Amino acid sequence: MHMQYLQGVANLYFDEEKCIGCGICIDVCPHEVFELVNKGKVIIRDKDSCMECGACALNCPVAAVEVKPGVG
Amino acid sequence: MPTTGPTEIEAASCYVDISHAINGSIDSPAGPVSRIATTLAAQDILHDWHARWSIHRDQFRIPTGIYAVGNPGESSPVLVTANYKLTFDKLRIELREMDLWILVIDTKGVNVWCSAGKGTFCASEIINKIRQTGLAQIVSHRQLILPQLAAPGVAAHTISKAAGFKVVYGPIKARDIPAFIANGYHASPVMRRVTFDLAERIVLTPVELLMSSKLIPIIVIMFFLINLINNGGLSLSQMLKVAGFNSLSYIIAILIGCVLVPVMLPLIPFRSFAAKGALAGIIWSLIVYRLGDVFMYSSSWTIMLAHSLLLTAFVSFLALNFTGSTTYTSFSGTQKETLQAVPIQLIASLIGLALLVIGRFAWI
Repeated sequence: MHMQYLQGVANLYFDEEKCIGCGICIDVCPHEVFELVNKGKVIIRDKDSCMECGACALNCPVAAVEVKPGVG
Repeated sequence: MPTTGPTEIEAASCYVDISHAINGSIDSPAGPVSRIATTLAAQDILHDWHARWSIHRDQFRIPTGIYAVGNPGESSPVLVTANYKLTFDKLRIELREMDLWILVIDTKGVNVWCSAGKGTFCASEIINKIRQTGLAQIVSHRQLILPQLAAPGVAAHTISKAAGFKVVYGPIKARDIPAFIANGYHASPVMRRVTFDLAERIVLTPVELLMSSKLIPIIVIMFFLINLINNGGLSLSQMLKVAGFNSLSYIIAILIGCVLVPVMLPLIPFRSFAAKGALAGIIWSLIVYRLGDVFMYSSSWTIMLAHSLLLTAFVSFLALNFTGSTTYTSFSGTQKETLQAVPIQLIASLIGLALLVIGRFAWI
């Protein structure tokens, strides 16, 4: 069973301009938040599943993802 | 979890003895490497129980460094893991009939995900261990397999820059490692998705229960003090008995908040944990209302309302507390519901306590 937490609270920011489509964010995300689309770019597929672990932000080689837990 | 860790040499006595799990030695260009068994002994299972019940939980670190599984050579894969005994055991039992190396880094005896979150499972510590163990002489390739859940602490690209090893994130669960390696270092989406199934929730409940059971003496003392008011000349032993029975519904509330709510988590409506707990608390209050005599509560409406408010607030608080142990709650979400729910829980509790005191007079 897939459990979901509160909606609209995750502080996850993604800059499509910077994304090089390497897909490391997809590999590290434990909740399938990202998806690689055929343009060779990543999109945020399911932001509400983000638990703000920060793995994507830390591993993105071009700093296209940012996670700021507890802001706002 | 330990907050500050002594250095490795100082803490030598803190290491758990794993000599029973060493079943040989492999010669490598960097010296002999201990080979570890892929089966558990009786004391390993005992360690698991101890840790789950929080007994010497901070003393389950294992010596860091390089270990061998099977008969690895220079082209064998290298797995990186935390130096928490339970993590190490969970990993090695999945590696039967495999030949590979395990690099155990110093995470102060904390599991992979938690240590990554705290920043001890990090790139600099991996780089340290690569150098200390002479890994570059032991293997001819330049790849490391990290558990996926180490990613919140490790910037993979910095390791290749600093130490020449490329990081590949393996699956979340150790049991998927053989398939991951057989598939040419590819993890399926299922292997990459963290779960929180019944078994995973149940193993967390003993620690939750032990933490919250520390509140029991406070609850008993609270009832003892309240019952001192206008006590009608009861003897000390009678007063203790009444305080004990009065506390019983709250002790059961601890069981509900720390075991029943986590176990039934996906079945309870609402996304908010405070709301899930409040619902469970309201249901328990209704049952307590029906069973009032069992807990030696007066049947006056003030007392019953008081217990309903207190029990609902209490179970709601315990459930909210469980957000710290799940695999899917975010800090922002927990912060949001804490700021909303805790003031309500507090006000409900204060009204409940006031009614309990007022009820002492109304009773007569």
